[in-house]
Amino acid sequence: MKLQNPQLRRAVAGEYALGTLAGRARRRFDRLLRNDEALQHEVAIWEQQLAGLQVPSPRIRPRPQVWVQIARAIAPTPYAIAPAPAPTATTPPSAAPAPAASTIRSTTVVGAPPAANQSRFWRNWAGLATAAVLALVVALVARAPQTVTPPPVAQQASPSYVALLQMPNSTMHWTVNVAPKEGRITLAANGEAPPLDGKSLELWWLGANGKPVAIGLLPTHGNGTMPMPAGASGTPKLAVSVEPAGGSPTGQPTGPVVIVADVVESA
Amino acid sequence: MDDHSALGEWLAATAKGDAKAFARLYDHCAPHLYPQLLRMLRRQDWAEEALQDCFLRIWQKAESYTAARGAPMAWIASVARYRALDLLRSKRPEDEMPEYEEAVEPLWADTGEDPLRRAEEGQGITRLHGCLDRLQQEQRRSVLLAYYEGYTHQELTAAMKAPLGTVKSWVRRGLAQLRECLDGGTAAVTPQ
Repeated sequence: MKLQNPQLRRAVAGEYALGTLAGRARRRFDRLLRNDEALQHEVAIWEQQLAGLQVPSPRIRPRPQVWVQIARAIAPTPYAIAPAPAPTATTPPSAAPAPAASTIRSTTVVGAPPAANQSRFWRNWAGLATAAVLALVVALVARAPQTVTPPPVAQQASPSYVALLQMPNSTMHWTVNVAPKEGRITLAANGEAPPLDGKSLELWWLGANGKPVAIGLLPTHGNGTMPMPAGASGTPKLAVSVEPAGGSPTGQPTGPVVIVADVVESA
Repeated sequence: MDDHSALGEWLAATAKGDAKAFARLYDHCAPHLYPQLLRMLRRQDWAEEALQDCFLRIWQKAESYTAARGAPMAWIASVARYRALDLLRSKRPEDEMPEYEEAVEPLWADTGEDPLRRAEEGQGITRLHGCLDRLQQEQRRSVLLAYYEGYTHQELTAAMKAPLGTVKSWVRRGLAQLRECLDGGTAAVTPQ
């Protein structure tokens, strides 16, 4: 297929845009298209013309899983649960025995700030996970079907919040409800638990100052209720880190931060 | 906010790797694209797969979008449509299909719903209506079935009960006349 005749070029471009050009012919055309700007332009015109055929239909929001898959695919560092970094000399040699999952840790913030490389990791994740999970949460929160506005920012007296924590590269996710007035955080775990290799997942509250406050260990199945951690205030972000069994020995995240999520105000 | 310029900005930011802008783009466009994909693919899992493919493509190719490509939404919609077509073709490959003598009934031909009637009930068709009206009925029907249902020539032979050569020529002439009419501006109405 040479495609030099202008009329033929236009005709085939039209069939390409329409979709009737199929199979081998379509693949050949795709190859031609790569290096032929005039042909790309021809196709673009057809695309625009045919777009006029789009019939406006009621908006339907796809399931949140769709975005989760997309966000995962574009994540710069696909996360896989790996053994936590080797403990440094300053880490206590052995952590306290593991409290049962969903046990409350009311640890107040003490201990060394996270290592530099870890905070870089954190920042990197924050950028992406925030956007991804925020959109995700927005998709979850019931909204009027005809108003699509940029994701709202939670901000008010003492509202409650919801968040969806999605484990990268996994179906595991938690829906979290934060009710500061009732002093309580409830959550439900869903999906297939990732291989944790004896580690625990710990949930953190990131307040206005960005300093993590431990909330508790995340169960990988069932529901859990945790009290609001002491010192928690403001509109939080939530984060999840991988910790030694039983939780962080230092009161600050020591393992990789796998999720950072914004919360959105619930109705 | 003006959809058009917001979409353009988000696309431009996406091209620079801005995941937040990309999330907004998704948030805004997905509810428009998803029903179109559902209609074409008729299955939730396929529509979701196509939507996902579409946005991965947008993430990778956002920099190839320029204003010269036309309205951002039309560009995005065609990315989605191509993904849907790819998916349809991979699920019901045409390459090895017999010539029209043995044309099989398309899987999706009998849905009890007339896609043309559905299309006419919408308003999107007004822009092209004048031009579509000028086509022969078979040309018009062939073009619209290909557009809305993603029918291949083979599938059109079954839907239109006509031989392959005839169907191909309906599509080609239909498109050519449509284009001539639109370029002439005789019936084109500027949207909004």
